[in-house]
Amino acid sequence: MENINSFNIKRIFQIIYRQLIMSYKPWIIGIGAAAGFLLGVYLLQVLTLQGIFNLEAFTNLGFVILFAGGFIFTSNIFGELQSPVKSHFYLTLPARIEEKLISSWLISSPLFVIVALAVMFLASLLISLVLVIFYEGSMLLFNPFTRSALTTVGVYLVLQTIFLLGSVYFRKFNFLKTLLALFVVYMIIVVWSMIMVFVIVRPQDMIFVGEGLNFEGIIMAPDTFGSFMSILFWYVMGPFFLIVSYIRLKERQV
Amino acid sequence: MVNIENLTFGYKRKGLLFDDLSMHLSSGRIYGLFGKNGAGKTTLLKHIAGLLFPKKGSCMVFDEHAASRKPGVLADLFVIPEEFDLPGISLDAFIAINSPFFPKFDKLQMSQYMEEFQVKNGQKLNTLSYGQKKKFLIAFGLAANTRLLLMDEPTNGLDIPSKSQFRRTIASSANENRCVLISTHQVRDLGNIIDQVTIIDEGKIIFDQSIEAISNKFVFGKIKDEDEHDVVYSEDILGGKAAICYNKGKYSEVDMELLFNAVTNYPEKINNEFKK
Repeated sequence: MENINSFNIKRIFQIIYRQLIMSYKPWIIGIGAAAGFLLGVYLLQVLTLQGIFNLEAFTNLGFVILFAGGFIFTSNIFGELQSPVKSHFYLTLPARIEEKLISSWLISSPLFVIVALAVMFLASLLISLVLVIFYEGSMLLFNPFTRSALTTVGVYLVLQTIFLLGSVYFRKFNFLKTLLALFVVYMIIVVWSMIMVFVIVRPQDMIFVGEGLNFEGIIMAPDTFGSFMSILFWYVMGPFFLIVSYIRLKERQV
Repeated sequence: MVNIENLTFGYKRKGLLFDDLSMHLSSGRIYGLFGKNGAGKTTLLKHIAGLLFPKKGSCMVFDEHAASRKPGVLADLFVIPEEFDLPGISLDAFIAINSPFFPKFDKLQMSQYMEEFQVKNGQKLNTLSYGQKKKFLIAFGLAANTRLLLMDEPTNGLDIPSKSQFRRTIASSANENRCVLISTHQVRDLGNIIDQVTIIDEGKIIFDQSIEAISNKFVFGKIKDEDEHDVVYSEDILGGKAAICYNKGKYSEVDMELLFNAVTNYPEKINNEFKK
């Protein structure tokens, strides 16, 4: 009993394998559609502009698709749990809650990113081959290891955990409900911040310059605030949402 | 094996379904959990499987809280729900991806059960009929060789030959380490295979006796005149009465439907007979 109850990495791979076998078809369709869209847009550009390929714009669109696709994909990663006629299979699957959460996170986060970056690279390779063969251009390949690409991936990895929580928390329309929840939280923070500014920094201390506010005379520490927010985003947000997802999954009933 | 003590539970906006319910299941027995629609049979099964959590009291499976859903408990427990959906993959793929989670799963047994139930391989699960899906899942549950097997209305959707096969297979798969709990409102479907009759009504266990005790106490049969027999309960049928009479050394097969009707209509009277 003790052995089977302890954390087991092999079981994580079994859960991943199980999920891949059960869901690979819609995933392949999704990847194909995203790759097709990206290729279609930039092959069209190369053909219509006679061999001009804007790699920067390609990378930007690729990341937009990665973010949108990743968030939608993550929102459905607990699809079996959210289905009233399938949830008992998932909940009674002999594995620890952590193992179930980690396997879903691995699929929707690092695995998804690796596949998405590989697709972006392959798409740029195909476009470059068209450039080289038909327009005597040079190879312009997407490099996923640049600082900006890695930072963007990092941002995805953090924000993705919010949608992972949404996938565990909501039973239907997970993606849209998570977006709505994010919007509501964002609005609350904006309103709360404005109220705090007006409470802490009294209006009579403010000097209006043009259309903006001048906080002259008030000690501001932008570096400290920036560092705080940076730490909060990069090191706190991800683990926080993962822990909340774990608690939610543990407490989940049919 | 399963110990439910003072379980209290209710769904939101529906009031309490269980209030102080206690129940014990032992290994080596096949339990028939009977009850009307909405009596709480499925809810009770969900508590044992750790799919619902008690509001008060406890539900222990293999000395662990069912709600903790520990892998050690889940690997020795299999649930066959009434309503389910299977993924659009082949039967072999389903077995390949799910069987590793059950250490005692026997692939040879799985083939045998599938043969008995006439479920043919080489098809996709989502193309099977409801009855075929159910038989496949029953075969998987039996081949998993878990110590606890929970079935919710397993005969729903099965044709007559499949129901007979189901009874034969369940009876042959019974062993002293396994406990099978079969919940159903189709009481006739489980005749001959169960060891213990548990009847639930309005969230309470109103009857819990072994077939042996019932057979020792009562005989079941058709009578023409109540006055000629020592009748405990009877109901009109074509050409006479179906009756439960006191056993005076003559044994009969337990008529589940008649017993169920007697218990749900006169729970105190029937239970008192066992206290004598």
